[in-house]
Amino acid sequence: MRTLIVASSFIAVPFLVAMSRPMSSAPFGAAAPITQPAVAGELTLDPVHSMALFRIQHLEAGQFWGRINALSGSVAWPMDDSAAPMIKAVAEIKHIDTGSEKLDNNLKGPNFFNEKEFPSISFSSTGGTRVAERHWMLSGDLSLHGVTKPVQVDCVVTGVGKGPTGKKVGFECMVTIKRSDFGMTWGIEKPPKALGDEVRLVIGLEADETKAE
Amino acid sequence: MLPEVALYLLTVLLLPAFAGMAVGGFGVVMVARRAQADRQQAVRRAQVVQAIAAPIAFLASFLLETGPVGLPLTERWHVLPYAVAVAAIVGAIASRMRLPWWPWWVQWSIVAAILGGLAWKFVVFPASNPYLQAGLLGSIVLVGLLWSAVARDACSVGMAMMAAIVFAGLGVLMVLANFASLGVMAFAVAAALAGLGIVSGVLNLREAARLRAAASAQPVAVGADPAGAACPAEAACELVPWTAAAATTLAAIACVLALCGHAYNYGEVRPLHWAVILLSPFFALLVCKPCLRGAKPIVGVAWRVGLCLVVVLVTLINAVGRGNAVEDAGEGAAGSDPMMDMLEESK
Repeated sequence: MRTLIVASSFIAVPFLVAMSRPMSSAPFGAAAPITQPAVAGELTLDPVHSMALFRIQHLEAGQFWGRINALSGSVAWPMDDSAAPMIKAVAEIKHIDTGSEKLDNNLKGPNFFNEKEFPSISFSSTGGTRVAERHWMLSGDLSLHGVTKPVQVDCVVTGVGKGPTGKKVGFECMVTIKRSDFGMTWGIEKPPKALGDEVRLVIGLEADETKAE
Repeated sequence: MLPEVALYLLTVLLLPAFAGMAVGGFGVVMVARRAQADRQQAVRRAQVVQAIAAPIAFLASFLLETGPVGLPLTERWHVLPYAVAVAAIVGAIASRMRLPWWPWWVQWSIVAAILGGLAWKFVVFPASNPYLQAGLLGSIVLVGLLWSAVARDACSVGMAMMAAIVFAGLGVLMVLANFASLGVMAFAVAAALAGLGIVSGVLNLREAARLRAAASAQPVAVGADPAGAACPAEAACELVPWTAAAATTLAAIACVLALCGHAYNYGEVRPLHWAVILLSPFFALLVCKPCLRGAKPIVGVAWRVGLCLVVVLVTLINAVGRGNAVEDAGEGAAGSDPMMDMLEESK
């Protein structure tokens, strides 16, 4: 009898413990919100290979592309993809690069990013829902031009490779925002239709496994 | 696209300019219509209106370009409408006051110090430090006193035109510093001042003609100088002379705008460019007294305005030239590859 009780407790205790834990993802990868990864690998963004591309319509004609280089920050993501990547990324306006120094300076000026007062853009994810394997819809807060707004960012884990310091993980994220929501209105109505309101951001991230100290 | 841009410029540039010009012009017209008896009172009212004409143009342009800004400020340069409104109120009050028991330079210094002190305390831009803030106070006092001295000597048309040139010059520097919005606002002030100068000039000429006609209609007294009969007409044609308070208000606004442009500068505009343009009316003082005494008013205006314009143009050409030189150097640098340079060196 004692043997039976001990044996059943060996089965029951792990079962009860497992039942008491919140499920890390819904069955069949359905869109269940996840706020914290179960087992998160700490990754540090590699600024050399992390950048944000932005796209905006110019004079109601072409789609103009620019980029902000050297993104910094961190990502917490379990390599088994059991939870959404928790991204904290910072883009400094001084690293803006359109291929034209004049245009870069114009964008850094007070009519656009106003770098003197708002030197960086930051994104911090707060949760996410699974879209497919290694594909997440992240929710988080985007701080731009002194305004913080919640946004939904489409994020794909592009691959897991090997870098000089350990594992290297790639992410590609996309989000479309209205810059007027962040108080950047120059060129939308005044001067009229000089630049579009919608800005598409394509963010390429490479993150390295953080070495234990 | 073109009609929309034209409509935009009409809205943010010409509309505020007309607003400022209309306010200032209204005062001058009122004086011209007044009978001699109560003209003095009308002149004093018109001088108050004159002090607020340019600030009204700036505020209208800011409102149309940027929209209303509430408190607390979201961006530091949004302090400008508040600063300009305070300067206009101080200028208007100071224009009404007469303190005959103090020398002229003491009165002007007090107005300049009040405006400078308010700016020093409340107008703070990015990267401000105690030295820069003290520099703002000092520049408002210095430029205010100089502009007041110029206003005391130059006629109303000349002063308005010189101030218009300064604000137009500041507008170009703003654009070169990649601050287009503030450039448009400075242009609106310049256009309002230029319009005010033209209105003053036309009315002055009309007044002079009227006085000449009245003088020629009267019989010349025995022993009187026929040439001297025309002189009162020339003197009286100055309908609304600039007050030191109005000149100091304009100088304070110009200094605050220049510091704002400097604080947000992403171009090749150097502090010297702002300083030279702010001080350009001072060069008018160099030619005002000895050589122009006795000259026709139009000659005096042409000399002063022309000299101010030359100083501003030379500064702007220097600023634009510097920008182009840096751009050329930048293009050259973009074409070179540091890696290739290293390989070349290693050969």
